[in-house]
Amino acid sequence: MSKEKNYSLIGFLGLLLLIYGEMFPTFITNWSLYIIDNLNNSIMLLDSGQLLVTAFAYIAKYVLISFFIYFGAMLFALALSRDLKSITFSLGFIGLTMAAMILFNQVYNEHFSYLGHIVTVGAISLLQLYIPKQKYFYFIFSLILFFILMASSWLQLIPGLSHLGFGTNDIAVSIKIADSYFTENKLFNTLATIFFTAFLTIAVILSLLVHLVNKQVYTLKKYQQQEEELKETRIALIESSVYQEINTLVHDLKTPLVTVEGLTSLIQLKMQPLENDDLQEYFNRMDKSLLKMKDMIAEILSENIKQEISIQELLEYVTSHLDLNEQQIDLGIDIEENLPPIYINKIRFSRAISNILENAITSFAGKAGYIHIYVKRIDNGILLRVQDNGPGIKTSHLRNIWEDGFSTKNSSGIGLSFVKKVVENHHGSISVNSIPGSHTQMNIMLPIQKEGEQRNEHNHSYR
Amino acid sequence: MKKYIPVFICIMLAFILLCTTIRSSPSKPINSYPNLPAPIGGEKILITSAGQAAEGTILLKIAENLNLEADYRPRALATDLYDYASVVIVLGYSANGIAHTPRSFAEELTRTDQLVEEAEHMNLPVVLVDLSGEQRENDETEKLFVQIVPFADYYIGLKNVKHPDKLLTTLKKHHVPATLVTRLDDLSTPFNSAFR
Repeated sequence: MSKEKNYSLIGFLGLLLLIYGEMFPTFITNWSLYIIDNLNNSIMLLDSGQLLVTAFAYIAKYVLISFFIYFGAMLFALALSRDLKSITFSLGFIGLTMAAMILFNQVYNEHFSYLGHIVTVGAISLLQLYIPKQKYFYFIFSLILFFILMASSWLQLIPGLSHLGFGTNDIAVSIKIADSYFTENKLFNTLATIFFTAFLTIAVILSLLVHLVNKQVYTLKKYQQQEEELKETRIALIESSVYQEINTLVHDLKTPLVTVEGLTSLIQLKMQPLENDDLQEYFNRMDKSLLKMKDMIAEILSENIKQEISIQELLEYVTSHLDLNEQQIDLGIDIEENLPPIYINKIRFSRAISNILENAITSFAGKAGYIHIYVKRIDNGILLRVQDNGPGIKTSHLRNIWEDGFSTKNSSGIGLSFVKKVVENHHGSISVNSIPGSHTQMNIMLPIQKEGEQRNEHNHSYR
Repeated sequence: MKKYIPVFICIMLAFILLCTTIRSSPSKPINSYPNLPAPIGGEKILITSAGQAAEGTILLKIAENLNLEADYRPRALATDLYDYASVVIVLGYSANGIAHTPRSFAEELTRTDQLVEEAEHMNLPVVLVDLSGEQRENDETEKLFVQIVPFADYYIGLKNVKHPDKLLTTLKKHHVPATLVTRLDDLSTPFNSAFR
């Protein structure tokens, strides 16, 4: 809708410029009078210098008129075709310009040469193909248009080309006749040719330069994009190989674990400890630990293995692995009463919360502070908030902390991205609020799963 | 390649226009009087313009160089002829020139008509001079030429006209002796011959 409005505005502006160009000679009658008076004076004084000044005044007048008409025609053609790159635009531009020049000739009887204008409009149509169709298009187009119109106006003043049909308009003819009387056309044949060549060369070089610079910028952007893609691929590759290695390692642990389990049973059978014996107690604890290890391996190897667990149990499990010795950190846990159990992959989710807590602990850098964990129910979810009063995260970094490889501490930078992946894998969401120098809050929102959903999801994940 | 079609169209159109212009250029040699065998007019000369082209001043400069007593009054009326012995009309329509007079082209035609009729009535010789040649060969100049030529006593013009045969035939039809020159500098001799 707004693009539509833009084209209407461009079209209106183009039409306005076209009308203004057509009417311009009526606003500058004094200018024309000045040109004619100057021409008469130069003939009376036989002054080539004054004739040259007259030629400059003539060029200025007609370049201005042509600029309004050509630029207006370009804008109007754009509004009609709505595509600068289309043939319709080029044809529209040529057609409108020529129609405007025919109308100009009819109204003012100036006998402008159509050949000159066809050559001019053709040159502009050719050069505009090399102007990048970006935000500076209008500015570059107007510059090139100006130089081409200057070249074209000087072309009209080359007496040697008169017999080909160039420079048939009223004042150009008077100037060339005067020059013929003064210098037998030597002055304008030389000077006008030089000016024509110079302006045409400038226009061509400018178009090519703009084209080449644009091409270079485009290539540079493409390289940057490719480089970014390559970087992302590299990170993904490293990540996948790290996970693969961990998985292989964990998988390989299963064999010695089975051996240990078997040998423990064998020792227990051979030694046959009594019911209340210390040895029996040790065997029981060993069995429990082996079972726990087997569970852990199973959960690591399969992300989709989830279990029901109370928040209390999860946090106890996480905090039991934290090393807070030699830290001046006050760790507080506040859990709302009667919270339903959550359905998670215990190992991966514990690892995720551990990552958040370890980040908070590291941020204190040995200084005193607090880390508080709040858990409460909000609608159909459970909010797990970890708040600390460490130095906080810079606002500029807040958007990047979830990206793979982003780190301000020369670490791998996969900690928080892992947290996000785990939370999202549990259909939850995670957000961060941080005020540098005050506090940081990590909010994990997990949905409460109703009875029956767990089984379905579990089954679905194995399909 | 498709995007170059409009440019090719322009090139083709330019080529066609160029061919039309070149074909109409004179090819045969033009024969005319080098100058008049005897003068037809005297001084003081009124140099005026038919069409108000700015280059009329050139003729005044030529007259000055030839030490001919002449006035350049581009907008002279029939009533101004009482003071002069000859009338020289510089032919050439200029839209800008006309725009700077209080007259329209139709009024310029009427003024010219009245001027040449009065000159004939006063038995003043009329010399018609065309300084622009093919560069001002347009309908308006043609109309002025057709109007003046029956009253003209001598015609001086340039050889580089689009249809020299047609020009000479028209002049012959009205028994007007004509001199066609190659350069503006060559104009002095035939112009002088009309008065001395």
